Amino acid sequence: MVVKRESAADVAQKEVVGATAPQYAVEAYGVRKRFISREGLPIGWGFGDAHWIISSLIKYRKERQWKEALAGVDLTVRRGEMLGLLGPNGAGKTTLLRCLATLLRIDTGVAYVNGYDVVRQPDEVKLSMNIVGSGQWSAFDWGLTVRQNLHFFGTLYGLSKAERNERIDKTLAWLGLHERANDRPPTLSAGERQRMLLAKAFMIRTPVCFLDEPTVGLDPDGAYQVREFITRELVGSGTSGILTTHRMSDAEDLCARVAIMDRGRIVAAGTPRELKQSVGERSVLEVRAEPVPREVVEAVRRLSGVWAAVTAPAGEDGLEESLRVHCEDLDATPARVRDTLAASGVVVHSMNAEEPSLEDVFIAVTNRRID
Amino acid sequence: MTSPVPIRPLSTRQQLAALWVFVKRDFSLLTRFKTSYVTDLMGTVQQLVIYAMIARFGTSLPEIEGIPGGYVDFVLTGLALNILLTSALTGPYLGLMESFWSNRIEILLASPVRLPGFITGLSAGKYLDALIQVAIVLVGGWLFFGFEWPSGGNLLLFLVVLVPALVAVIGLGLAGAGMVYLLDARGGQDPVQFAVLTISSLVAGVYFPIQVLPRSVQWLCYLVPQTYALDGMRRALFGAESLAAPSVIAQMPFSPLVVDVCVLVVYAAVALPLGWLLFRHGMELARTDGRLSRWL
Amino acid sequence: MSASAAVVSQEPDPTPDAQGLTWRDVGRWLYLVFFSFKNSYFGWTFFLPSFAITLAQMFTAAAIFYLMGELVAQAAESDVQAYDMSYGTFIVTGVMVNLLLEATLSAYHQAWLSGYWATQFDTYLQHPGGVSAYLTGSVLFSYLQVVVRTVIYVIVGVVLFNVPVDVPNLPTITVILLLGVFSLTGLGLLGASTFSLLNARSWGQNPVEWLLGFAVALLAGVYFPATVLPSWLQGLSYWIPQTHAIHAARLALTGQVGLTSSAVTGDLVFLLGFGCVTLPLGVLAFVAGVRKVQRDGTLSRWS
Repeated sequence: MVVKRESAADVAQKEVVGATAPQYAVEAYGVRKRFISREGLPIGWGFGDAHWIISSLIKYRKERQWKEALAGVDLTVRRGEMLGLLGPNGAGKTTLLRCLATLLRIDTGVAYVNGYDVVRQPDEVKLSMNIVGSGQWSAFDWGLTVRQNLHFFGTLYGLSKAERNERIDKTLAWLGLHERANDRPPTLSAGERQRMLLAKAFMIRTPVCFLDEPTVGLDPDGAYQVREFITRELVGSGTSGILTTHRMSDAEDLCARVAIMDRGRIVAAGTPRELKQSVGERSVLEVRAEPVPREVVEAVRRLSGVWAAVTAPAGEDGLEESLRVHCEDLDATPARVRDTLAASGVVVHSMNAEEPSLEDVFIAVTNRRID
Repeated sequence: MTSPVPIRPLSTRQQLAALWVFVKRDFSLLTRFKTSYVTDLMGTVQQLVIYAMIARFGTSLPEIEGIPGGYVDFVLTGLALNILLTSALTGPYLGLMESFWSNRIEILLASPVRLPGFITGLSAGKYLDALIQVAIVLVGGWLFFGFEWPSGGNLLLFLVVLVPALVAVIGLGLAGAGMVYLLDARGGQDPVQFAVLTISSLVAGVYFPIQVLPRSVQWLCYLVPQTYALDGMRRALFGAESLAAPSVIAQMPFSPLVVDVCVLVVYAAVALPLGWLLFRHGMELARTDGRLSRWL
Repeated sequence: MSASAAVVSQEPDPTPDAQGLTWRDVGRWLYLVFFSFKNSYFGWTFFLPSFAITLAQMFTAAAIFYLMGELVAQAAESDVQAYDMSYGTFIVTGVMVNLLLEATLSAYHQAWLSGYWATQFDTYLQHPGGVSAYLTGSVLFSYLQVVVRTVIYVIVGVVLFNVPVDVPNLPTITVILLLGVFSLTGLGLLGASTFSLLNARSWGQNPVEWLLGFAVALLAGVYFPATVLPSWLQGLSYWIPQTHAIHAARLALTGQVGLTSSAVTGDLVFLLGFGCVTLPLGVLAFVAGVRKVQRDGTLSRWS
């Protein structure tokens, strides 16, 4: 595949533009990224010693298909600001972070982290940023203790022995992991492991920090502890960064500004208040009911005064759904919605008017729910 | 573009410290899973016993008579040196695979360690393991199977052969590691490793002199650096200039040791840059296609 | 329903002796066995190139041992003259016979491991007798694999390494190999039980397989005759079934012995006796292992 890059003139033009702009920690202009879609050979599979033979056979027999992961992302993060990146699974949030962390080569566009070009100055970008999160970012060795793991990463980032010892002790104390310093990750709880990952972020202290879904998989207490730490120690110390999440509460509580991403694009950006206000004159109805058939949702959408109607599961037992309705007013429309549902035999458990949330912003722009 | 917050590039000392921490990490993991590691080492003991017991029968082959300890010394030096060279060949691939399947590759590549340091660090632990295995073979051979320590050898000459040999094999190893992304060789072995190991184990003189092979396959020995490395290192260790050389080498107007060193230097000069290019190209391709890790 | 609940509520595996069983149940069980076998075969087709590489590596190793053996043949002649073959061929035949015996030790444990790590148990748990059917199908397929590998090995061995195969003596050779498999089945089941009794759930050898494999390589006459060992080790080697199976198989391959020959009577009696003693123990350990996972609900990775 030939990667088409912008010409030097285009980049120089953007550099001129950037130089007159306010101080940004992260910038992305027109960033695009496509992936080859490999049918029939999931990337996580291995077929023994001759995997390369199987893979080559399948690869050359099948036609290549492309999936556009980033479709022209424009994004800026000011110095000292934590930008929330909100969006459903598959929106391109992690892909964007990978591009900014120099792990993915962008196809077109430019991006800068701490003023360094992610394509031309990757070494400087890596020194400027730290990436933390669960899943593919939780790269601690399970055979090493918490302390040994932090020593390892501290050394990779050039900390001296004295610096490492001092920062590890301080960080573990702050995070309440001091007594677990000589334990190994498998013996820690999920919340403790997540805090261990954040310890890496705080110990290393780069100007920019990327947090990829830091509260995923945590219980409410664990998520609260992690949010407290991010607010107090990262945001409070002036670290700039991007926090990706599909939890609106994380975005609203931790981030000065939020960008909403869908299908590889930023569809809305601003402070949480600005975004909610952008929903405009929409009123929001939250209906809890038995599972609503698709044709009934369509019928609700077609009602006069309804702008959008989307469903999502509510509760763990699958017996209840949440139907979120954006409507012109709260006078006649709620009754029309209730009548439509009743006529279709759907039992309504509750119906309440709510303040627009960030998810409503997403619904307004995409006509879908985030989850 | 905005003015960056100043950052401190890693000094050479810090880069070396990063390399060392990879070795320490591997050593910690080796000693942590003691049972598993002891089991692996017993595999080396098993190999030692099998080959030494066969070699102890002895042979009167002229190619081996120049070696003081006879066939046992021939086989055990071949085994020990082959372990060293094999670890240099397979280290980059195995290190890369381990970090791929354990989901560490991206977080390591996102750190300030540069690509040469990254791949060297990932391979370093394998060399440590190899040295331990070499010690088991030689000490075990000496204690139980009549291995005689080389006494008439020249250590400097030995290093003159060893260094380019390792560089050459590391170059091949890097090419093999590049196959992880160039050819999707993620299953446990790459084609470079397979070809080199298969050929070298059979025809490079590890377990028997090349002259024992049918003539129709002897020509294969010239393809792999292990042939020259083993021949040269045995000559340097045992001072055995009288050892018979493979036919093409024997016909040269220079001493076989000189030929071995020259070939290894040329091999290293070609294999290392080529291997590095292939490896780097593979990593760039992975970055472009988004295949660095298991997670798309 | 969680997998652990499924295990607890699992009906006992149907066997023809259990009361209340119908032939329909047996038919269903056999169908599951066939399904498991077919699944294993299908999965294996993706590994055919790997299999080819394994074969290539196997023959490289055989060639190395053969050539080493020929190199020392003169000095080793007196130790192998009873077998009427060169020392190189002596080693190759030892490795060849040991292939089949090694597979018996590992097949049962490998079946547990693949069912566990590939989450196959989660699927088969939903059917009465599903787990036993899965294990049976997997083990049968393992034997098919090793038979294919051994046949290929014999063909190449005959062509390249002078491996003798006395065709009229094939029934004797077959009986000897089957006795060897019988003698080790109990230990194979014991090794499989370590999956649950000792939590041996990593890919690779179980403790029984590892210990015995180590002993076999050094003591059972695979690579060198047991007669070259110190006498105290020779005594140890006679307690290993593979020593007797390989000794008898070598003699039978050259057509020197039949089933009633005195040269192999001792070997055959030992194999039969060893199997009769260890098979019930292995079955007991295996059943204990199955009961433990049923109690603990740990048959599934996700329980």
